[in-house]
Amino acid sequence: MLIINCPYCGPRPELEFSYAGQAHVARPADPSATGDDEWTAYLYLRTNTRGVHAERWRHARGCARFFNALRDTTTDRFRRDLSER
Amino acid sequence: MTGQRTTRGGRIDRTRPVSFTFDGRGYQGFAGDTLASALLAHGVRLFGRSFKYHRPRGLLAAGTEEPNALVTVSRDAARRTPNVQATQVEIYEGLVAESQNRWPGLGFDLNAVNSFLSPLLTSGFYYKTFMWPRFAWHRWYEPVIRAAAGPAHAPRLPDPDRYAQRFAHCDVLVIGAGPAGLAAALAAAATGARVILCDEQAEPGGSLLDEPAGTINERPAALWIDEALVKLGAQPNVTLLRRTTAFGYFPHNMVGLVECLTDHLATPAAAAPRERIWQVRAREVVLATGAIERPLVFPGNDRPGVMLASAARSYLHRFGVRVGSRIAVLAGCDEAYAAALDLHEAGPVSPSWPTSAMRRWARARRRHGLLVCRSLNAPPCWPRPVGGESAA
Repeated sequence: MLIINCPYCGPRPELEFSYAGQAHVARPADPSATGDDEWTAYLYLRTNTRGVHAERWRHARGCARFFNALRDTTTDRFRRDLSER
Repeated sequence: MTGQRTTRGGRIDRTRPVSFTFDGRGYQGFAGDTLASALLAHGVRLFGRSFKYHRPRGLLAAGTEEPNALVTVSRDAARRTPNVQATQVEIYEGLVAESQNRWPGLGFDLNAVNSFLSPLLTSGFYYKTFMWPRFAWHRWYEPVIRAAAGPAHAPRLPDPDRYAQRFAHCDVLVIGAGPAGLAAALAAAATGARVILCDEQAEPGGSLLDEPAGTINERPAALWIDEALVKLGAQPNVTLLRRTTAFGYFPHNMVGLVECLTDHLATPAAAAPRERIWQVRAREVVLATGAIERPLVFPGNDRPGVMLASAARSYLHRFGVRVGSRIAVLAGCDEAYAAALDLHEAGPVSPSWPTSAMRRWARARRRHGLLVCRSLNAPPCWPRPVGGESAA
């Protein structure tokens, strides 16, 4: 079980968090003007990073807020100082 | 190899006899015995049957590394635990244990016929080969094959026991309470750190319990253990968990422990949980798990009577059981010499076949009059342990 650093509450066990997917996936500004390929990419295509991965977490059983974190997918180590609000 | 109880020695309490049954026969051991040591003291050699060919199997080890002596221990119809190692079962008054994977009995096992059919039952043998005639699979073959499959039977009733769980945090988690673990716990506790020390055995001490002549800082090892336990017990920042096995090391220093609470008691309190799972988050983890001896590979090394030298020492010093009357020691490392001398002191001559001779050992052997068969390579014909009596 990982220890995840919530930027609002501090380090807490993984039990309190829910994973919220890859970070920095931007919604197209004008969906009606967006082509099928671009919309499909926004909805479904994600990177499958080996190494440092930017992802979102939600401190669901705590402050309930979202934040970004960098996690190395091979070691499960978080860049603790880089969790951002 | 017929074991017998020594007249003195061991860490058992000879003033407290304990009665139990194995395969319906009554035996008596002492408080502090395991099922394995108590049976060994009664000359029991056969503890189980191999999984497929039902070859006879005896004790190889004295601890959790025991691969052969799997038994079923039961309190009642719902509390039957199959596949526990006889070396890990602490006996209590009225313990009921049975052997497994044999029919009709351990001594005479009809399934041992597989051993003669072994040329047919090769690895990868596909049991659906029994397809002909068509109706026979359901009526003849499957019931027989299913009855013979699996080493033991689970209880059919729901488990009535309670199981507890607990989260814990500590600065230092020490896994194993042998000499290294106790020393680590003492050092950590002295700094004021919160320490959890766990050991799978009932008694802390680890390998020191097998070394009554051992010394630490020129004082007897047993005394050192007692002092260490008193010191640790007096520290409020130390938690000592006995009968507690660390079973998993998860990310960010999360370690899973399972503490057995009532399996060693004759009459556990009705409300007492049987086991407790600890999920420990430690700042630092010290693995002081010790070492186990690797067995030598030779034809027939699975037969009853072949045992690790460290196990023979353990039975002698911890349980006061000499594993045999005539013992051959096959030396692969220094420890064998200590085992040979110890076993020799507890009984008559031990002829031995060391693969390397040491000067210290040679002196000791002359002093004790042991017979040594010297050979730098493996002997052309291995001593067959089937008829003879040996421990390797």
